Amino acid sequence: MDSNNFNLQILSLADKMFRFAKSMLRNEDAARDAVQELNLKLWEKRHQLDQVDNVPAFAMRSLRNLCLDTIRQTKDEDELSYDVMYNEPNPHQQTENTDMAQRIKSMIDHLPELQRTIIRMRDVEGMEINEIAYITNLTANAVTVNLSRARQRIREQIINENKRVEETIWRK
Amino acid sequence: MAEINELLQKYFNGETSLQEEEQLKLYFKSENISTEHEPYKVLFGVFESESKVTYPAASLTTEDLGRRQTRFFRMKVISLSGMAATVLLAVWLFNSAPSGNSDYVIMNGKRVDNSELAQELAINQMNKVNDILAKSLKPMNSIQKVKQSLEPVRKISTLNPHEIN
Repeated sequence: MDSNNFNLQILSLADKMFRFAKSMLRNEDAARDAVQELNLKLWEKRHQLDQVDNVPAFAMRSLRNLCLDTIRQTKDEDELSYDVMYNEPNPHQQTENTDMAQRIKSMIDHLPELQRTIIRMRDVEGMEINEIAYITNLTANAVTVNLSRARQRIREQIINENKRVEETIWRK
Repeated sequence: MAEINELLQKYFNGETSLQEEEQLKLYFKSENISTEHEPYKVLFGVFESESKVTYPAASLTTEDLGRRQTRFFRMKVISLSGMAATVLLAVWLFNSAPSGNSDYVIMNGKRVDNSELAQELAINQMNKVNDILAKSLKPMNSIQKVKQSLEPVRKISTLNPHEIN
């Protein structure tokens, strides 16, 4: 793959790659590092990329694997688990954090890694189920199941959140 | 509204197509949203805002990657050279260190490490030294005998004339 093709097929994905890595790693610096590392690795192997059918999908799949390695390493070093459950905010947090959008972002971030990756690939990036299946190395059916679980979970939390807000208003 | 309800149900079941999801996105962007759908407006707004997040650093170029690759290659060469030098030093130190067997002799400029042979050769050499010493001290034995023979004469010279009387 020549320099122009590399620019067109890989470097043009920088924003998408960054969003994807940030969703997985939940850390901007780590996401930026992951994108840079991946681009450098792909650049080193650019001559082999001509044999790949779908280079952007291959790049996203490689990025996912890189992020999974980073998550594993972080888990080894850090006792805190990434995949913690979303905790309902206490009254103090409710008054402090009234921004529903932030709450929903937090709900998505607290989904299990696979679910939050899939929901963002579909609802933020607008990817086809087959493309997501290739990137995550799952069957299309497994992607649909995980997508449904993620969306249902977020819906339940939104409904609960709204109930709580309504109750708070009633008490006042 | 019934159509949106149906689409939402399909959406949460993960059964909507990209086109249907686009339809939902357009609906939630509009001003005419039913109150029952209000809770989901923010959700679709979050997806919309997240899709606009961009890579925070300056855009990477193939020239940047080329430079980084060269730097990375140099670093790799330097670190590999360092590792090779360390290995060579370790090998040299290992070979020059005295071996576990401390019994050895140098015979005609050659080192003999076989401990039994070394000990045998050392004993032979010591025996030879012993013989040489014995031969060298032989004249001294003769002198000693002469000295012993002359002892009575020495005693005579030390006799007190008064004691003789």
